[in-house]
Amino acid sequence: MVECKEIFDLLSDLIEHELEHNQEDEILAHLLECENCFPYLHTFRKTVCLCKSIAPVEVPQEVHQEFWQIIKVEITSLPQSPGLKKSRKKS
Amino acid sequence: MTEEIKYHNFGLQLSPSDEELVSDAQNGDNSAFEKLVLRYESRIYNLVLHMTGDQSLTRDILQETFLSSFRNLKKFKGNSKFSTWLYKIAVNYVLIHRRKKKILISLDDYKPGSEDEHPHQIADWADSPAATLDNSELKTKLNNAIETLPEEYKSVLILSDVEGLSNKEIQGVLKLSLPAIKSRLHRARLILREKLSEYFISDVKNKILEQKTPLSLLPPGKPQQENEG
Repeated sequence: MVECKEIFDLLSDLIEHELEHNQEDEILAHLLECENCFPYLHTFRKTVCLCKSIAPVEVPQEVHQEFWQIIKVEITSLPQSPGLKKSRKKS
Repeated sequence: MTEEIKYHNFGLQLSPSDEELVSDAQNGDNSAFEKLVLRYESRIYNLVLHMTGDQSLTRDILQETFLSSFRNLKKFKGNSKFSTWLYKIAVNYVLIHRRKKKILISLDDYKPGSEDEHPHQIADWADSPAATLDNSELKTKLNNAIETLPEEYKSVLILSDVEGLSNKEIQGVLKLSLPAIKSRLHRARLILREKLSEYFISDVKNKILEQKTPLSLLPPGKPQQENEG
C-alpha cells in the first residue's frame, strides 16, 4: 500500500511519466481515494505548468543598444581570419 | 507595444543551424557570430534576469557572457550544443557575482515544510480562475517565489521548467549528476507549490472577509465614527 509521503517524493516522476506502469497505477489508485494527495498533485502539476508558461520578457531597447555597441567593438577589434574563405557559402 | 515576446522554437530546425554558424564564426566570419548573438540574446537575458532578479546585473552578465563566448569560441569543440555552452557561461557568471555578494544560501537552511508531514486540508486552487499568468498578481508572486528559491534549487528549476532544457542539457550546464538534478528540481517545485498555496489561501481568506463585511451593510451616512469624541 502506497503512503502519502511516498507519493510526495514521486510527483515529479509521475507528471513526467517516468514511473513503471504498475507503480503509476498504484499511485493513481491511491490518488483517487486520498482526499489530500489528489489536490496536492493537482496543485503541484499546476505549479509546473505555470512555470512552463512564463513568457520571456523583451530585452529593453537601451540594454540591447548598449550591448550591441560593446559586441560590435569587440568583434571589429579582431581582424577577419584568413580561414573565412573556408566558411559555408551564403546563398 | 507588447511586453513579451516568444522565443521558444522547440522542434524547429533553425536555418542556418547553430553548428553551421559556430563553424563559420570559428573560421572568422563575424557576421555568423552576430547571428548567434541575435538568436540567444533574449534567452540569456531572461535566464539571468530570473536567476538574479536584478536588471542592472543582468545587463552586465549579458555582456560578459557573449564577450566571453566570442573570445573563447575557438575552444568550443561542439561536444555539447552551442546553447548549452552559452547557458553554462552565463550561469557561471551569475554564480561568480553571487559569490562576490556572499549571498549563497546553504541547502540545509531551507527545507520545504510539507515534505515530512502528512498534509492537512490541502486547498485545491489549481482550477481557480485566478490560477493563470493572465493574473498579473500571480505572475509577480510566481516570479518572486522563483527569485527567492535557494540558488541550488533555483538554477535547476529555471533551466528546466522556465527555459525548457532537458535534464541531460542541465547536466552539461551545472555539472551535476542526473539524480541530483531530479532531486533538486523536485524540491524546487515542492517549495514553489507551497508558496503559491499560501498566496491562494490568503486570497480566498480575503475574499471571504470582504463578503462578511460588505459595504452595503454599513449604516448610511455614519461611516465608522466610534473613535470620535
